[in-house]
Amino acid sequence: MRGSFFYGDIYEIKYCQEFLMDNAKNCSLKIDRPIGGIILRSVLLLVIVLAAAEAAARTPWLTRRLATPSLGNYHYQFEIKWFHLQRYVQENGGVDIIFLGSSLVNSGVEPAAVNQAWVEASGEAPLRIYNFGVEGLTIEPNSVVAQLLVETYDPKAIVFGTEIRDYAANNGVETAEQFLSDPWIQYRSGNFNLRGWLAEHSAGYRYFLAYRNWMRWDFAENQSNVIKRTKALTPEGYDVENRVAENPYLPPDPNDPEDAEGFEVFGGFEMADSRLEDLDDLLGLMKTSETIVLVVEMPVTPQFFDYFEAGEGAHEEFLDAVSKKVRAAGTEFLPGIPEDQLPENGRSDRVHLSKYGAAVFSRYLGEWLAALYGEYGGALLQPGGWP
Amino acid sequence: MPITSLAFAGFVAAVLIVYHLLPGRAKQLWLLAASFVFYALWDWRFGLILLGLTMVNFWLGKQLPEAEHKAWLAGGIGLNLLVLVLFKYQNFYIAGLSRLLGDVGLGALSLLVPVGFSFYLVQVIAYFLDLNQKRIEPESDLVLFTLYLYYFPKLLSGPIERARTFIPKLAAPKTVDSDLLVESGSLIVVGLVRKLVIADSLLALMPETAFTTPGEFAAQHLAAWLLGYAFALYNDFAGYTNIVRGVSGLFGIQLSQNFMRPYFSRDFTEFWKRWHISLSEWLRDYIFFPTTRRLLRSYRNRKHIINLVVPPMATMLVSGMWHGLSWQMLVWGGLHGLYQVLERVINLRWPPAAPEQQKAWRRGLCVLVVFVLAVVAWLPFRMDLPTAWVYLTNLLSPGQWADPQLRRAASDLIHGAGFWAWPSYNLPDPRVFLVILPSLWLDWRQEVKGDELFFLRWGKWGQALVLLAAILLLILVSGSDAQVPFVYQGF
Repeated sequence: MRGSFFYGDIYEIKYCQEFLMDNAKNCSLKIDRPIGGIILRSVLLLVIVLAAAEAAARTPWLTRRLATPSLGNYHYQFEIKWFHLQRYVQENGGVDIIFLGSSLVNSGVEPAAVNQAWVEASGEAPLRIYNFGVEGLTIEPNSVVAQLLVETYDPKAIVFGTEIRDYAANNGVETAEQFLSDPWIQYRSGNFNLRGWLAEHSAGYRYFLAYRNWMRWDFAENQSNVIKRTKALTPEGYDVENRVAENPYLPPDPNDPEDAEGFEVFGGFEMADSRLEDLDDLLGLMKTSETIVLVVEMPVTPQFFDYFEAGEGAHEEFLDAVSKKVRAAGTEFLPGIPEDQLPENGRSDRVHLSKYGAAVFSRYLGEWLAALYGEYGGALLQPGGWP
Repeated sequence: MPITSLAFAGFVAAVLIVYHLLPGRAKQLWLLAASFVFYALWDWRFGLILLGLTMVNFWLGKQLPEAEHKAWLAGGIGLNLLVLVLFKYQNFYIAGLSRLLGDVGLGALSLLVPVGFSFYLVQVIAYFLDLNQKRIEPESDLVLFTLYLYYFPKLLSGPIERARTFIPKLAAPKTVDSDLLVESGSLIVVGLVRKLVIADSLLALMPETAFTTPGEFAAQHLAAWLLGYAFALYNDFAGYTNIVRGVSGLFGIQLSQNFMRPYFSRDFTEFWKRWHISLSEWLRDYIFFPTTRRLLRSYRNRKHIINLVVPPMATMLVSGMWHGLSWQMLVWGGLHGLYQVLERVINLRWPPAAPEQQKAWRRGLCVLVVFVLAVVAWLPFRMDLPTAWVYLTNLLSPGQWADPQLRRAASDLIHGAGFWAWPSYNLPDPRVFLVILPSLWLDWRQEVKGDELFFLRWGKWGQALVLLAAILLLILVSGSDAQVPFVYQGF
């Protein structure tokens, strides 16, 4: 094996040394004076500067004056919610129930209204409820977000707001890919990477990430939007939707370019196995943690199912598949509120609720939680107490 | 593999370690192999085509000195031009040809777009013309000849090297001592700052629509973005050149300096001695001088209008065509030709004084005029002609300058809420000026000291602070979601 660099016997090492010595004679690199001093000095100064920046980023005086920190995720509304929830937990000493889902949850679940109904129906003290609805996130990324929320905040329950689009294989694919490839998400999912590690452990890095696009032409506008959207949230994370749709019950028109995409994406709908596996993952949190997972259907207008070739049949297929999975996992599923129980001004479009609709739907959720509480003898609020 | 990527750094490190351990001839073969791998990572198919073409050019070069008529020269240049037209200017004919092929059932045609072929081409032409003029002997070493055209640090965007000066450098590279190592490393750091911190930031600061629908923006924004674009383009290409010069220096092979503070030029003749120097010198030697000589035979008076107009105009039009076969590039070249013609006419009446005899204010004024005219010429370089015209007329129309909300901006800034609302003040983006500052500072110090690496004369802590500043600036831009390719890589 003469010549191999991979075997460790003495002869091999000696040969390697000879090889290098022979070639050193040809070596055209001659370090004739030390040159590392400047680099070492720079590294020393860099360490001092970075340490000072890290310390500064942890002082409340400075953080009050800086933009919302960032984890480097492209989805800035996710980051708004993440840090908003962090503040909520700091101020309230924890969180009992997190409503998780897409924009339908974001503007459709009003924690204060849920709480009010809960108190009235159960006679118990108010719960600490937070709305973690994030625009554009389907069940695929949300199953990962649920895991992160459970690991970080250990809530008593996660209520996942779902709807039929979560299970369309070609819906939200790009968003999910981009979201899930984020270094911090990857790091928190067990795939070590330096950027993710820094985002998790360094306050300085998180503030740096908040300003990472400082040279983009639309940076000021984007930051302004972040500030506006953060301010628009209620303390419990509810994003109030003030718009009211004039006629959300008009059936979609295949000739309208705005509707055409819906027909294209959902026309040949089938329940995607991969999305059902995501639901399994989400429900599986009950085995790996003490958090209860409940699932509710977010209500969409009956006309929304016109996009689907199977129409209302697709809706029934979705309800059947999801409710079966949820019940098989030993937990509860709540179908969406009947459309006739929503007020006339209850919708902002075919799928989203307005603030008026959200108030009614939230009461519906609060009463359901109270009913579950009564049904299971208070187990809902006992750590690990779900039967 | 972009040259600002960590992958490229790893590639260079791997090539470098082996290179310095190999004996002379093996070094050349190793560099050639590395160069091919480097090009293959961009596009192995065109890498092979280029390799084949290089063999043909080597053979043609050997025939040229013995050839009795110019057909060999014309054939050699024509062949390379044909490859250029075939691949780089396929847009002109590919649609028609595809239709034709479709008609006979051969389907659509799609050809590779070669990276850096324009740079390859001018080097080959220079080699053939030098052979034809008996300025050099044909290269007898195929490895050295191929390496001359294929050497990876300069393969993508130059600098454009001449065979008579560059092949000897390849044949006998310098020993890389501590000084060369420090200089090369410094060039790389300066290049990275120019490219990633200054150029990329400036390019990201401008909305794409500024150069497609300028009519939507107030003139003050357009002015700031045009200024930003001028510095972005300069730092992009100068940064690239610094990086590749630094990388090549690590191999003991020095590449030409391509930029020398061009925006400090007092006239356009000087501008072209400072901007893309290797191309300017090529144009001077192979277009300007031959055209001038030929015309002087017919019009012996140097002040004859033909002698004043044709050489600079022809040279700059060729320069425009080299950048791209389009009307906008022709107009860009034509504008620079026009500037030089006007300069020659003015110089007839008022001969230029030596810089040291010129008063500072006058020198400053000249620099400013040249800068403004050069910036105006970047308009057709950056955008199509109708858009460039809208951009220019908007800049020159008083009505397009929106009322700046200075009082509101000042009030908001005092109350600490100004930055996020900046877009509503009708004021140019201050970040453009902030990013230009390091470029101006670098150029100013280099100009004053007459040394592009002036900071290497500073003390150790001073140098360490410069390196620290560079690292911090690079960190500052490292998190950006935007990645901007080198502008000149497209040529």
